[in-house]
Formats: sequence, structure tokens, C-alpha cells
Amino acid sequence: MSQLSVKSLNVSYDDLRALVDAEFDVEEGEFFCIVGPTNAGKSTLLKTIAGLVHPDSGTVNLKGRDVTRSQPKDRNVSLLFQNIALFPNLTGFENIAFALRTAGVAGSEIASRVKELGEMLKIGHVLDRLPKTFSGGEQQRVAIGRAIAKQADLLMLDEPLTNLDARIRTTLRIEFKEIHRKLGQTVIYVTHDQVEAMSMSDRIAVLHEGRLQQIGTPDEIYHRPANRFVAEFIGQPPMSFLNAEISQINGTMGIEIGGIRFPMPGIGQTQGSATLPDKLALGVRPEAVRVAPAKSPETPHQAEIIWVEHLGSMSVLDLRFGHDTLRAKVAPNHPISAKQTAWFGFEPRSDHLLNPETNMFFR
Amino acid sequence: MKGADTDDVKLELRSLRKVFDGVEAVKESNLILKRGEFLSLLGPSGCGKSTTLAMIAGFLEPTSGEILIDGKPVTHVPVQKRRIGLVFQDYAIFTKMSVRKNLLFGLEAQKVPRAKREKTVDEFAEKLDLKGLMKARGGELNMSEMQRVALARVLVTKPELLLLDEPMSNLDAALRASLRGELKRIQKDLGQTVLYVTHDQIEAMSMSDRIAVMNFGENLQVASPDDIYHRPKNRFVAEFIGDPPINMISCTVAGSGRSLRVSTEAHRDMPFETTAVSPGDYVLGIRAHHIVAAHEAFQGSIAAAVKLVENFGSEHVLHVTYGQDLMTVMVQPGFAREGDSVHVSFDLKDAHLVDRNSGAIYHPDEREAAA
Repeated sequence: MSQLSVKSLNVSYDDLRALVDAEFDVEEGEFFCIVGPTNAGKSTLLKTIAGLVHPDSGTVNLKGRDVTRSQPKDRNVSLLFQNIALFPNLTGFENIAFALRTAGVAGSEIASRVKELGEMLKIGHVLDRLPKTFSGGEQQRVAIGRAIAKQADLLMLDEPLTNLDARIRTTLRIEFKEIHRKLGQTVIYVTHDQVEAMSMSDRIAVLHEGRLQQIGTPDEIYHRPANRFVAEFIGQPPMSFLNAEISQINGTMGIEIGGIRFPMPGIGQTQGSATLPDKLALGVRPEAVRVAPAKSPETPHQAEIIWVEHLGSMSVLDLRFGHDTLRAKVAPNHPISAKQTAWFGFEPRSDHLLNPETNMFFR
Repeated sequence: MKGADTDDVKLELRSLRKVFDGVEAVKESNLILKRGEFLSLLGPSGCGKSTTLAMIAGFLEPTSGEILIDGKPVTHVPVQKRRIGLVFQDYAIFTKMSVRKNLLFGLEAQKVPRAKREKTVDEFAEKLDLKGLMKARGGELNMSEMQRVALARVLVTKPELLLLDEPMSNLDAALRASLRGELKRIQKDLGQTVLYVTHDQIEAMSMSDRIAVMNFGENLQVASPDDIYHRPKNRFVAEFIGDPPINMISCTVAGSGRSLRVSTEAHRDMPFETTAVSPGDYVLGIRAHHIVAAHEAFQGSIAAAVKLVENFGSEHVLHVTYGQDLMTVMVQPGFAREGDSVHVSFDLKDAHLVDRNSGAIYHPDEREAAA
């Protein structure tokens, strides 16, 4: 039995379909992430699970119990929003203890549980203070503590790190993952940040325009994206797409991009050559592209570097290739660091061949 | 500044200070922004970066110090006479007006003749790739388009200086990444002088000619992105820049003269030649991508247990035990799983030695120069 089971959930606001046939299960103890751009329907999905929004159709099951029509308070879920709402007149301790007090937990148990959470979240020093004295990071830690303390069947967090400075986000991301591991609570985490989704989750659901695009482990989502949207949304810098044509020479299958032929003997068999259209697109991850100042077996093709972005731990090179731009990710000390002519190479992956009509990968 | 005659200087801050209720929000800031330069003020919330910007824009009166634009003091010149363009986190565009009218607005206010207004707007619509949006009303745009229009509205007025305060903070991560490249291209193309305020090191690293890293009202280092990343001058800069954050490991330096030995709890007596550092307790800073990891033991390696794996798609970051501490190591995807044991080491030439008290950093370059 799954901790949460969502079946053919539909939500619309007037004539806007905010959520279309959403369907997935979350297992006990899982860290499940819902990722997508603004207006994808992420918060609507979360609110529907929490009972704050009523679906037009479909069901929400918590631990096997149909809660679709239950009140939010009867669902035993905990929901934390992006904008932190701490009680300004309560200390850090009392903010965390709040849900425990209303649930009638004994005072001694409250004290020990809040103390434990305080240590885990590194906020022991603010427990006696009022929220107005907290830094942004401390506020969010206390809010997380309050959400965790309830020991709900499901802990749901809506962009909890979005309003924080980049540096605190990185730290809290790792700490939160460690806390989740210790406590083993079932978590649904909503974010627009693919780095958070990739690095924290057991599984990711990618949502776009109200529709679930793909559900899978971070590795599945990254290496075998279902469609172009997922491929471009996950991974930074994003996957490049190159217009390609099927070319068959002496019975050997291959593709041609910008006048260069790449033999791909496998594609006739795995995809069935009859189903491959003449024109398609090839997705290439930037880390798969090798670039060098000179020609070599690994870098047999020439191209102009049209843009360079230095990011410290890596640099991103944009290569003009045919009518497209091919992005390459290289080490910071790479010999090519400015616009110039360079040599490049990559191995096309048959599972990254895309139908440009449908934006789905051929698999 | 090498070879910079005064004609090259667009903006100069001289001992600029701002005190609020006894708190020094900006401490004696001295900064020069060259014509056509893109300079970022980078730091955490409350570091004084937005206060600095507000003084340059003329919204805040400095407590002391001077602001010069094109060599002329403007410290007491009112906002509207400074010819400064401003874009903030929240997009200031007219939602009821078409994009075209939004762009024309600033030029009308400047009393630019009609024919010239139209021509300038067409020119910028082309450059900023807004041609397809000119007829849309402001309210019909998505967030990324709104911010591009907000930027275009300011750029058409050809400001002497463009001040941007966290202009991408409200955008999704994916949109931010694409706007970054676009903004840099436009800035270079127009030769626009830009002062950019952000807490996001990726934005600062990728777009700036130079970065001023700020903390507690102080400019800690003003340098190229490359220098900020590879040759941070102090502990704050080293820890603020880089993702994952740089590893900081306790170490001791022993020996005498030039022949020193650096020891961490796990690695003993790594030879190290310099005269720049005297023996004592230090902190060794080393970035995750400078740690070498292997499945088998190798010369100089120590065994480390993998406690946590962060999956970033194209690479994984392992959090491994190192003595009493945890250390991050960047590896290829699939290299190790949680619970595995790996072997790690690093080359001291990639490390930074941090003075425990002052936070000052000794770099490989300086060590070589001293040797």
C-alpha cells in the first residue's frame, strides 16, 4: 500500500485546466519531488493533496484511505509554503511546539522533541528568541522544524528554499536531505529548481502546463528524458538539439548534421528504420561534447566558438554547428577560453533521437 | 588600474559610507567602474550591496564620501539628473500599454523628437529580439518577457550607467540561465556600462568583467571572476564562491625555513615549500573538483566512507569522511554509492591555506612567487 496514491486528478480554474489527469503513487519514506516552471500546476497539485483545493474529478488516497472529500485537518498532512509564516509573538521553541500542543502531546515529550529538532536543524540558539530576531535561514529552519514536528503521514514543502540566498539554499538542501534520511518521513517537495530536484529526490515528477511529463529516478529523468521539455528543463546547461537527417550509405544507417555524417549502425534495428522520418533532431548533453584546439580522432570536426561562459568550476562553450548551436561543458582550465575556431566531437546516442513533430524521443 | 586614464572611468566611489542608526551598512567603499564594464556587487542579504546601489542612483544620501560620474561629483545631484537607468527585481512596466508604448515612454519623457523615438525603438526591438511582442500589452507577457521589456525600456533611453538590482530573482532557474547569456550579449553589443547587484554567484561569475564581493558593508575583493574563483583573498570570498562550497579542513604547518610540512588529520606531512607562511595552525581550503578519488588505494591516498551522494546529472558530489570531518568530492555519475569506501587525495598546489585568525589566504601563485 502506498503512502499516497493520486488517481486521474483534474482541477480547472474557470476555463484554465490547471491539472490534467495527474496520476502517481508515493511510497512510505520516499522523497518525491514535483518540479516544473511557474504555472505548471505544482502548487495546485500540492493544495489538492492537502485538501485546500477540490478536484473536478479523481481521487486522493492517503495510506489506503480515500480522503478526496475530507477536510484538510482530517488528512494528517503537513504543508509548508514558500512564504514563511511563523507566529511573531511566539518563541522559536513555541513555534515548533505549536502543532504538538494542539495535538495534546505531553509537555515533557514536547520539550525533548523540540530540543532534538533544534539540534538537527542547528537552531538551538534561537529557540528562546522571537522570530523578528531570526535571519532568513533561521526563519526557514524553524518553519521546517514546525512542519516536521507534527509527524504527519505526509510532509509537503512548497518551494521552501526559493526566497533564500543562493549560499544558504545550498547548505539547507544538503541538511534537509540528511534530516529526511534520519527521520524517514514521506516527503513531497515542490520546486522550480532542477538542481534541488536532482540532488535531493528519490523520484522526480516533471510537471508542465498541468500535465505530468515524466516520473522517474533522477538518473532516469536525466539520462532518458521522455520528451524535449524534460530534456531541456533538467540539466544545466541544457541539452542542445541539432537538426539531423537520416542517411543510409551502403546499408549502414547514420545521421547527417550540418554536412557531417555520423554513422549510427544501431538505429535501423532498435527504432525500426521504417518508423524514423527523414528529418529528426538529436539531443546532446553538453558534457558529452569534447572540444580541442587541434584535430584529433576524438575531435574530428571544426566549428566556430560563438560564445563562452565562465562559471568557475566549469566553462560553457557555444559552438556554431550547421544551423544550430551545440553547447559544450569543459573544465575551467580548458585551452579554449574565448571565441575562436576549434575542433569538436561527440558520440550520438540513439536514445536521444527526437521526433521534431511530436517532441518525443524515439525509443 | 593599469592604463586607465580618466576618460575610461564611468563611475567612481570615493570612501563612500552609509550609517543607519549607528550600523555601518557601507564601509568606506572605493570602487571604479570603467566605461563599458560590467561589474557585479555580490554578497549575502544585508551585505550593503543594495545600499551602495541606492546611493549611486540617488535614492539614499551617503553619510560621507563622494560619487563621481564621468569625473563629475553627483553626490548631491537629484535622481532624475544623473542619467542613470534602473531595473529592479519587480518589473516596472505599464501593463495596460503595448510593449511599443512602454519603450517609447522614456524617450517621450526625454522629449526626443517623434521620428527619432520611433527609429530608436525599432532599433532596440530588433537588438533585444522583441519585434514579435511589440503589439502585446504589458499584462499579456510572461515573467521573462516582462523583465526583457523592463530592461529594454531602460536601455532605449541610453543611460550613462545602468544599475540592475537582482533583476532575475523572480524568474525560474531555467529562465534565469537563458536571460543571463542574453543580457551579457546585449550589454557587450551596446557597450553599456552596468553595475549589477546579486546574491547569486553564478550570475556574477558568468556575466561580469569584474566582481566586488561584499560582506558586512565591506568590499572584500574586487577582481575578475577568474581571480575571485581561483585566487580568493580571504576565507569569506573562498566560501561564498563555488558550488558545492569549498572544503575547509583543519591543518597544521610545521618545519622551518622553506621546507615546511602540512598535516591534516588524515594526511600527514605533505611537503610544502614556501617562505610566505610561518608554522602554526591553519585551515586548508580545497574545492570538490580538485579532490582525486579512486576505487583502489593509490600513492598518498586515504580511505574514505561515502555518506551521501548528490546527483547533479552530469556529475555526482560525494560527501565522504575525512578524519573527523566530511569532505565533498566531485566525481563522474555512477562512480560510487552511499556506503561505499573510496580512496581520496589532493594536490597541495590546488589548495588555499587560510589563516585561522585573519582569514587571509595564501595561494599557490604567491607561494611559487615566494619560492
